[in-house]
Amino acid sequence: MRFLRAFFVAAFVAAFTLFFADRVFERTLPHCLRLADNFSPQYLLRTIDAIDGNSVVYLGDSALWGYDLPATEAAVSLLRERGIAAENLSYEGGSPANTYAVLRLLLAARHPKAVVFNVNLKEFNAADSAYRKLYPGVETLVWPALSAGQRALLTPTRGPTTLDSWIDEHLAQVWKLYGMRADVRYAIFNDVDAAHALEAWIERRSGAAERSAAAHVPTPDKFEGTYDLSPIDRTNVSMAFLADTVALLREQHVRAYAILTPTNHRLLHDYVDVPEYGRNLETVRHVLEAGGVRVIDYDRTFAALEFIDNDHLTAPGNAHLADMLERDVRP
Amino acid sequence: MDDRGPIHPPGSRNVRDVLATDPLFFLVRGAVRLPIVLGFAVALAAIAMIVFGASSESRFIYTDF
Amino acid sequence: MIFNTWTFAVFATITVLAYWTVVPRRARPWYLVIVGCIFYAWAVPAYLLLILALAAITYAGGQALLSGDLPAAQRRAILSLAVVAIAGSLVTFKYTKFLALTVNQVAHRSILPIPQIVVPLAISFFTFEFVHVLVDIYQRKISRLALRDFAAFTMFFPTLVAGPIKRFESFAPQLDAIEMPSTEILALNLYRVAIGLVKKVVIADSMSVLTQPILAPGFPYGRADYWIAMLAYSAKIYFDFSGYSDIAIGVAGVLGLRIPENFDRPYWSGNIAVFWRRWHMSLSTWIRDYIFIPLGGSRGGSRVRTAANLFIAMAIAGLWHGAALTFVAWGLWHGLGLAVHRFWDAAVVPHVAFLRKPSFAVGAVSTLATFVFVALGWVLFAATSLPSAVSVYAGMLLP
Repeated sequence: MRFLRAFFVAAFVAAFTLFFADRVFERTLPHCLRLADNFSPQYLLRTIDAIDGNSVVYLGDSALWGYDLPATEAAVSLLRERGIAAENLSYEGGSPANTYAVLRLLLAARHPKAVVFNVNLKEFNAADSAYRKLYPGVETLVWPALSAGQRALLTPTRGPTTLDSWIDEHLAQVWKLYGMRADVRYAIFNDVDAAHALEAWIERRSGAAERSAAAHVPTPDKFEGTYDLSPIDRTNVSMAFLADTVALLREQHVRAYAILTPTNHRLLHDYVDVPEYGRNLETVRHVLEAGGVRVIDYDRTFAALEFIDNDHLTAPGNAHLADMLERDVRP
Repeated sequence: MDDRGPIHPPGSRNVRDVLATDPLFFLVRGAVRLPIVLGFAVALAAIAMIVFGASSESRFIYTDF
Repeated sequence: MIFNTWTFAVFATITVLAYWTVVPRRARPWYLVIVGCIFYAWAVPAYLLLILALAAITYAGGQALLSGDLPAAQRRAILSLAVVAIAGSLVTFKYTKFLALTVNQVAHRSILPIPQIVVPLAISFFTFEFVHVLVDIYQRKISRLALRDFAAFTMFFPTLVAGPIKRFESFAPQLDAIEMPSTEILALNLYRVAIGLVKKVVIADSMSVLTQPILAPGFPYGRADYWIAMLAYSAKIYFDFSGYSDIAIGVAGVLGLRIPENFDRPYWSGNIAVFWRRWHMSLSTWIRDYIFIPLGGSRGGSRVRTAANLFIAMAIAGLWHGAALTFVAWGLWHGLGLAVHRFWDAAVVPHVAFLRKPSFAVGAVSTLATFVFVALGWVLFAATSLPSAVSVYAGMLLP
C-alpha cells in the first residue's frame, strides 16, 4: 500500500506538471514562417486552424518551402514581411499527391482567399521518391478521407502497427508537447534538433560548411533521369492527383493559381530543352486552365545564377520570386 | 587494470551514496522522501527529453552484444 | 526491447506493479525468470533457446562440480568442457565471420567462406556471467547453486541486454528475502531511471550527431572538426553506457535488488589504472578476475611479464566489445597505457619529489592527460576500420 500510494502520488504530480507545461506550451509556441523539416500532424492542423479568410495559402514542394535557406529568406516569408497575408504550407518532399492531400485538409477547415501551388515536372517521374508517397504526418490525417481509387495509387509510408507506434500515435493526441516535439525543436533551434543546430554551428565556425558548399557544385550529369519525358497522361499518379486538385478547387470555389516551377534550363539543357518537355508542360497547363486555375509560367523566368541547383532558388532568387508573386498573385 | 578492484567495492554504497555524486542530485537533495519531488523531477526529465532530445531514433550503442 | 521505448516503459511498469502487489513474496524470483524470458524473447524468440541451452550447460556443469569430492583432474575436466562450450558458442556466433574475413585478408584471397551469422542479443554478457559462475564454483567461492537462484540470475531482465555483469555470490542471497525498499529508496531508484533516460536521450544521442568526422573522415572536415568529434564521442559513449546502467540499476532497485555499479566518474581519474577501476567496472573486474589474474597478474616480479599480461587482458577486453581489429587496437592502446603507467609509477614517481607529493596542479595535469589518452583511444573504438582511424589521427595531429 505504501508503495502504491507513493507511486500514484508521484504519477499524479508528474501528470499535473506535464499538463500545466502543455498549457503553457500551447500558448507560447510561436507561429513559424514555414513547416518544420519533420512537422507533426498536430502542428499542421494547428496552422490550418489559424488561417483566416484573408490569407493566400501556398502549397507545394521544397522550391516554395525555401530549400537550403533560412525560413526568413523563403519567397513566401518575404511576402509576409511586405504585409501580405500569406501562409506557407509547402514542404520538402511535396508533390501533386501531397498538394492534393494538404488541400483536402485545408478546405475541410478553412476557406482561404486564394490557393497558390507549384507544379514541378520532376514529380511526374515515377522514379521520384514523392511520386506515390505522402508525407507521413499528412498521410495519417488524410488517409480516411481518400477514396479507394486514390489510396490504390499511393504506397502507404506507415509500417505495421506496433505497440510503440500505437502508444506514440495516441499519446501525441493527448500530450501536445510530445506530439509537436519536432515543431518545438524547430521553433527553438531553427533546425531538426539542438544537436543538428550545434553541428551546423560547429561546421560554420570550423569552415567545413564552406568547404562542403564550395565542392558541391551541381553538374548536369547529377540530374540525368530526374525528368521523365514520356507523355504524361491520366495513368500518371501525379497527373491523377493534379486533376483531383483542380476538381476540388473548382468544387469549393477557391480562387487558385498554379506556378510552373522555375527550372534551371542552363543546367538542365540536355534534358529539358527538348520538345517532349514542352509538350508535357503544355499538357499540365491545359489540365489546370480547363479547371479554372490561373497558370503562372515561371519555367524559364529565372536566370541560371538565381538557382542553387535544378529548381531551388538562392536568396536573391527567392527575393525575385517574391517580387513576381506579389505582381502576379492578385486574388 | 591492476589487482585491486573498483574504487568503491561492490555493495559498499547504496543508491543514495551513488546519486550524491551525481551532478543532477541537487534537484532532490534534502527532499527525497517526497514522491512529489520525484513526480516533478520525472516531468522535468520528460520535458528535457522532448525539447533537447535528438530527433533520430535512439539506440543503445552496443547492438553487437 | 530497448530501454528508451514505450514498449519497455509499459512492460516495466506492469512488471513492477504486479511484482509488489500480486506476486507472492516466495514466487518473486520465479516471476523474474518468467518476465525475463518474455523480455529476451520479445525481439527474436529463437534467441531464448540459446540462452536457456547455455544456462542448462552451466547449471549442469556447476552441479557436477558441486557434487561430492571429485578428483582434481575430473573437476578440471568438467570446468574445461563447460567453459569451452560456453566460450565456443560466443566465438561461433560472434567471431566466426571476423576470423574468416581476417584469414582471407591476410591470404589476399577467399580461402574461407564468410558465414552470415546473426549474433544473438547480449551473448557477450550472459556468456561472461556463465563463465564466472563455473569458475567460482570450481574455486569453491560458490557452495550452492539452487535452480531458482541461478534461473533468476540468468534471466534478470534489467541486466540481460547490456549488463552490468553481475556476480552470483552477491545477487543470489538477495532472492531469499525480497523486501520492498523504503519509499525514499524507491523514489531514488526511479529518479535514477529518469536521470539515465536524460543521459541517453538528451546527451548521448545529441553527441552522436557530432561524431560524423570520426565515422566518415575526410573532406570537408578539418582539425577542429576531428577534435570536437573525439570529445563528442567521449561524451556520447560515457552518457550512453552510464545512462543505460543507471536505468538497469534503477529498475533493479525498484525490484528490491542491488546489482553492481558500472561507472564512478571515470573521466575524473588521475591515471589510467584508476580509470579502469571506474569505467565499466563490472567488465574490468571480470577481466581482472578471469583473465588477468589467471595469467599471473602483476605477481611474478617481471615487468615484462606483467606488461604482456596487461596487453593480453586488454586485447581480449577490446575484442569482447566487437569483432573487429579496431576494437583489438583499442584494447592494446589501453594495455600500453596501463603498462606505461606501471613503469611510471614504479620507476619515475619515487625519484621525483613533486610527483610524490599530492598537489592540485599535478592532479589536474594527471586527470587531463588521462582524459586525453582515453579520448584518443575512443577514435580506435569508433572508427570503421584501422585506415579510417589513421585518417582521423592524421587529421587531428598533422598540419
